[in-house]
Amino acid sequence: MTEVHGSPPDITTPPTRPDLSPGHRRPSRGGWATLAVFGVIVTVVLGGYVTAAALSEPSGSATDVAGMVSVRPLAGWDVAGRGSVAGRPFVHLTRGSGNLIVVAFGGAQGDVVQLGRGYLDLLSGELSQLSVSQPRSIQLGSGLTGVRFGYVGVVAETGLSIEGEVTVVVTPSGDGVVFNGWAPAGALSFVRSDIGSMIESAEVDGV
Amino acid sequence: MSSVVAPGGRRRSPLHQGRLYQPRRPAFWLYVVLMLITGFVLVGEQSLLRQISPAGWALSWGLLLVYALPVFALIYVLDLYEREPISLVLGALLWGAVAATTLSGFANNGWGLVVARVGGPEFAARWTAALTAPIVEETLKGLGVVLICLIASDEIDDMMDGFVYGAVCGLGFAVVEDVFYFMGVFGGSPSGVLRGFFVRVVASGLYSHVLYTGLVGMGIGYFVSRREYRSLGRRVAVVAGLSAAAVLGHFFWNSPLLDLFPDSPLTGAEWVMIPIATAAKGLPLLVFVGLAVILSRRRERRWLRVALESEVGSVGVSADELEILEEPRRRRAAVREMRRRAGGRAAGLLRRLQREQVNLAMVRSKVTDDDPALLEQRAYCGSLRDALRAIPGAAPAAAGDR
Repeated sequence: MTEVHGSPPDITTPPTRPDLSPGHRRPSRGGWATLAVFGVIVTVVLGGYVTAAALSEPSGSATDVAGMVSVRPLAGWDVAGRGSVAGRPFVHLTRGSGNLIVVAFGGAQGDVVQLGRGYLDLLSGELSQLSVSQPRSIQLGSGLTGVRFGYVGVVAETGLSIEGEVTVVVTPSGDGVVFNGWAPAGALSFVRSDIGSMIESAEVDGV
Repeated sequence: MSSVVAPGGRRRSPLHQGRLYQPRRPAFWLYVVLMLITGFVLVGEQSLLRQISPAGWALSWGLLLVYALPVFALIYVLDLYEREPISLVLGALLWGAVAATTLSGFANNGWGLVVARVGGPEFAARWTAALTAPIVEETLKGLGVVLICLIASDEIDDMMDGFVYGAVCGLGFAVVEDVFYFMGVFGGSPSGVLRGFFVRVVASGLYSHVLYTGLVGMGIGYFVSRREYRSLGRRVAVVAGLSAAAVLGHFFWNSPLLDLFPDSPLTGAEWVMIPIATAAKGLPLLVFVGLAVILSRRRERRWLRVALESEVGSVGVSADELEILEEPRRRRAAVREMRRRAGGRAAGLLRRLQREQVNLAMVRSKVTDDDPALLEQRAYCGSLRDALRAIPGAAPAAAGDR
C-alpha cells in the first residue's frame, strides 16, 4: 500500500503574493479597523440616548389627577387616557412602549405599606402570574418618603408579559399617590429614566 | 505493510488562519469583551423571562432548537467548496445571539426615544419598530461579520463565505429574539409559546434575520474578497447596496404597510391568513436572496474551474476529477460509489482528496506558478490519490479519474 507523503505542507506564514514585493510591509492586524468598529457600535448603541436627552424637555402642561398630584409629561409622552380604578381617579401617560399610571387615593389610607398592599390587590386582578419584589424605601425630590417595589406579570386580557415598578407615597395629610411605571417585559430599563424623572418632578398636594 | 491513511482531522489551507482564537488580533479582544458584557445582561434577561413561566421558557428554547439546528446545517452546507471553520461560524452565531441582541435592545430603545420625542406617542407606537430596528439591528449584526473578518482576515474568500457568516449571525439573533417574543408578547404560557412558534417560526421563519444578515454578509464578502479586482468605490457600492436591501426588507417587515395580519384573538380560518400575511411581506426578499445565492454559487463554480484549469494534467487534479469536483452532487455520488466499492476508508480518502483539490484551487488563485506552497499542495493531492488507489477495490475508479 502506498503511504501519503508525510503530513500536509507545514507552512506557518502565507506565501508571498505575486503583486507584493519581497520587502513589503507586514500585514496589518486590523487595529484601526477594530477601533472604527468599536466607534460605530458606541454610536449606534448610545447615540439614541444622547439625541433623546438633547430633545428631552417637559412638554405641554402639567397633567392633574383629582387636584392631588400633577405630572408633567416629558417630550414623547402623552396622556393616553383618564379613568378610575376601584373608584380612584387615575391618568395614564404613555410613550408607546413605556407607560406611567398615576392613581390618586384621597382620604386616609393608612401608611405606604397598607396602600401598597391595596394597590397590589388591584394589580393581581388584572395580571396573571404576578410576581413581586421586596419593597424598599425611597425619598422623592420633594422630600416625600414612600416605598417602591417591582413586579412582573402577564396582562390577562392580551397575554402581554410586562414588568413594572410601583412607587407609593402618602402625604402628611393622609392622601396617597401611586405611580405605576410599566413596559413590556425586558423593556422597562429603557424607560425607567423617563418614568423616574416624571415621578421626581411630580407635584403632590400638601407637600 | 505501510500505512495508507494519514492522520485524521481536517487540514486547512496554508493561506488560512481558520480559528476564532486569535489573541494577536485587536478584533478578537473587542469580540471577547463585548460578548462577556452582553452575556451577563442576556443571562439576566433570560432569568426574568424564566421567572414568568419556567415551563414556557423551556418549551421556547426546545422548539427553537428544533428549528435552528437544521437551518444552521443548511446554511453551513450552502458553501459548495470550502466549508468555513466551525469555530468562526459558531463565533458569528453567538455574536448574533448574545451581543447583537443585547446591544440592539439598548440601541432600539434609545432611538425609539428619539422617534417618540420627534413624532409623538401615536406615531411612535406605529413606526418605531420600522424606523429603528432595521438600521440598528442590521448594523450591529453586520459588525459581527466584520469582526469575524478582522479576526481571521483571510477566511472570507467569496460572497458565499460572507453569506454563511451573516446568515448564522442572523439565525442566532432570531432565536434569542423569538424567545423574547414567545415569553413577552405571547404570554409565556405553553399555549402562548405554541401560538408564538406558529406565527414567528412556522409562518415567518423563512423571512427573518437569516435573510437580512445573509445579504449584509454577502456584501461584506464581496468587499473583502475583491480587493485585487475591483475598485474601492465599486466594492463600497456593492456592500452598501446589499445592506440597503436588507434594511429595506426589514423595514417593510416591521412597518404597518401591507399589514394583512388578522386581529387577535385569532379564530378558525384567520390562522390561515397568517402565512399569507407573512408571505406578502417576506416573499419578495426571500426570492431576491435566493437569486443572489444561486448567482453567487455559480460564480464560485466558475472560479473553481478557472483556478484549476491550468492544473489539469498535473499531479494535483485530472480533467475527470475536475468535472466531478465542480458539481457537489457528483462529488457526493462519487464518494458514495467509492464507499460501496472499496469501503469507508476509501470514501473518506476520496472526500479528503476532493477537499485538498479545492484547497489547491485556493492556493493556485493566490500565488505564482513556482510558489513552494503550490508545489507542495500538488504533491499532497497526488499522494492522496496514490494512497487511494492502493486500497483494494478503489483502483478502477481512481484509474478512471486520471
